[in-house]
Amino acid sequence: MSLRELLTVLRGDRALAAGVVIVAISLLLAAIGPWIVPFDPERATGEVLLAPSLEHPFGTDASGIDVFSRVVAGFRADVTIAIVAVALSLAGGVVLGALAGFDFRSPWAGRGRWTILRLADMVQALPVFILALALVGMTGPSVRNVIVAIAFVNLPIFLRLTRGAVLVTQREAYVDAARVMGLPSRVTLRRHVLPNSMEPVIANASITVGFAVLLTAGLSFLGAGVRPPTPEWGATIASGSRNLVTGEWWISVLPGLVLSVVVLGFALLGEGLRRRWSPADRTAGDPRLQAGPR
Amino acid sequence: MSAAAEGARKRTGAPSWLGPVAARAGTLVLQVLGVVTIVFVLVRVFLDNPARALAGQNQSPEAIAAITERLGLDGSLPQQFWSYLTSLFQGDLGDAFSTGNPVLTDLRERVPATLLLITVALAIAAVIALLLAAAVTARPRGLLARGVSGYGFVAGALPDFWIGLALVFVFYFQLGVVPAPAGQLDPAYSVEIVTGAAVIDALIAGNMAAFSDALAHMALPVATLVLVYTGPILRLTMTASRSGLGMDFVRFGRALGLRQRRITWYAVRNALPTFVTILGTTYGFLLGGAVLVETVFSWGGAGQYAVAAVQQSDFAALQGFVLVAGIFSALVYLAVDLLYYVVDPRARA
Repeated sequence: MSLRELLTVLRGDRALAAGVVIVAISLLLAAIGPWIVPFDPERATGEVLLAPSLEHPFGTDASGIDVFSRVVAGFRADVTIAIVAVALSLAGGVVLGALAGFDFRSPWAGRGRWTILRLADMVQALPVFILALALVGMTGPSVRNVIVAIAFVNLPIFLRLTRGAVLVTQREAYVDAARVMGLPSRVTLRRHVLPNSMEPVIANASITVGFAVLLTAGLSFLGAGVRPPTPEWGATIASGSRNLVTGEWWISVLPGLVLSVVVLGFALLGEGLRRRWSPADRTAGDPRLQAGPR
Repeated sequence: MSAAAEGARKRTGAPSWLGPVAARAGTLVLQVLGVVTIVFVLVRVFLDNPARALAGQNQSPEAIAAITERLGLDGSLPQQFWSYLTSLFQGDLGDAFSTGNPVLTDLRERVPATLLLITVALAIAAVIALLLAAAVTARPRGLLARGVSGYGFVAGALPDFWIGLALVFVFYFQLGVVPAPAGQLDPAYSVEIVTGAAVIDALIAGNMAAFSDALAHMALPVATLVLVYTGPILRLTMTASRSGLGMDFVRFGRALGLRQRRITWYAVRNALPTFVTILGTTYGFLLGGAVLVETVFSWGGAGQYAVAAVQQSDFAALQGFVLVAGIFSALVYLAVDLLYYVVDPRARA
């Protein structure tokens, strides 16, 4: 798609355009955020609990750290964790989903399919947030463990989405053609079925990144995710909650606003892609295919 | 829904729906076993030595050896699984070192508070969502419809802990209309703890002053959950009832000259299975998902217990909570599947 075509599409779908802009800014700030901040996000400025001003757009917190700098630098932790985690569960989910959906014409395939689906059932029987919290709790709070936990709880979503798409795609005539030509199952799956089953998976990946950001911030809010002094939104919101009841609202409220906009941006992008690719989407109403119940 | 239940449903086809319901209830046992199994596996995959972790702060070799023996951790994996199962069936979830009590006792004291919070919030959210969905279905192109779909989309993206904090700032700090976000009841009131949920305990004690104080404490956490979780319920219900508007039975009703109200009701009725599903999913999610809101308001329920367990590496408590949450959501999914028979005539056929 050329740049001009892209612009035409975005002009016709404002929601998608908003999503693209927010996601692009998020990615940019995840890459360069910590380098362009006006103040050191881990060091006090000496002026404690300043209300938002031109110098400190989001004010300063109880230890005198510039909140705006923490929020801008926080893109790195929250957005990177979410994207890496979703990439991992996407990779795992696509492989397992393909195995669980593709008709391999082998006596063993049925049993494999059954096992994979029952395992997914088991994982999805546990509440998402608690499972993630328990995983991080057992392995200890670190960036790597948060990524693994988030990847693990989201994997069944991609597994089911891929399986659903593969089940539909493999009924296409070109798949029959590939089989009749004597192509091995593996090759048929990899070259013909999977590439044509990716659209719903990728549209959903964007939405899931948004919820992974929410999950990361939620875990860190509880102290079970990224630990201070690393700049991270959930931890920043938690640190400001003590000041909220005495009137210093900006430390919690403004980072939360940025967090909401980012989650919304990824959701808008995902929904927009879904609208373009499958106007009548039957999976939209199935809660098992969504990140959390939301 | 399990494949077995589905199969049973298709095969019987009898007017009696008892058969498939019984089959579905039977799968509950399997689901609970699944939850138990995955907790067992996770603990063994992620902890090098569960006995050491379960021993908590008492890391003496004797304590670890005692736990190793009690859990049968010196045996083979199947043996370990078996002894884990038998102690579970005896109601032994281990002791929480953070409170010094058996985990089961701790949970019995805390789960009701969480259940009350999420049940009230979900009931309010359900009513609002259904009414708004009906209003939108009646006038799918109105101003209200636009506002409502915008809200439905945005609400799902909001962090509930952040909404809770914002509400505390506005209604406690600025307006002063609610008590401080610290627990379920002002410590000035002493009410005998029966269930652990202050509102109910105050009612049981017949202490009306304490009851209204407990209600005031509950207002903001409930409002937080309602604000955030009405969104996705509303969005999915709205989508389903709108798609009902385009279906043949609605067009037929229009051709017959039925009143608009009646047609709206038929379209909304078409959304009931979706509505029930998303309610169930949200309910199952909330027992654990409300931990953040519980933390903001120091609610003292099961969720906060789990958080404390994570922070203090209290694995017996954590394991117990994950089990209870898993069993709870299995029960909720069972209820959802059974409700299908009530709201969806096709499921009965």
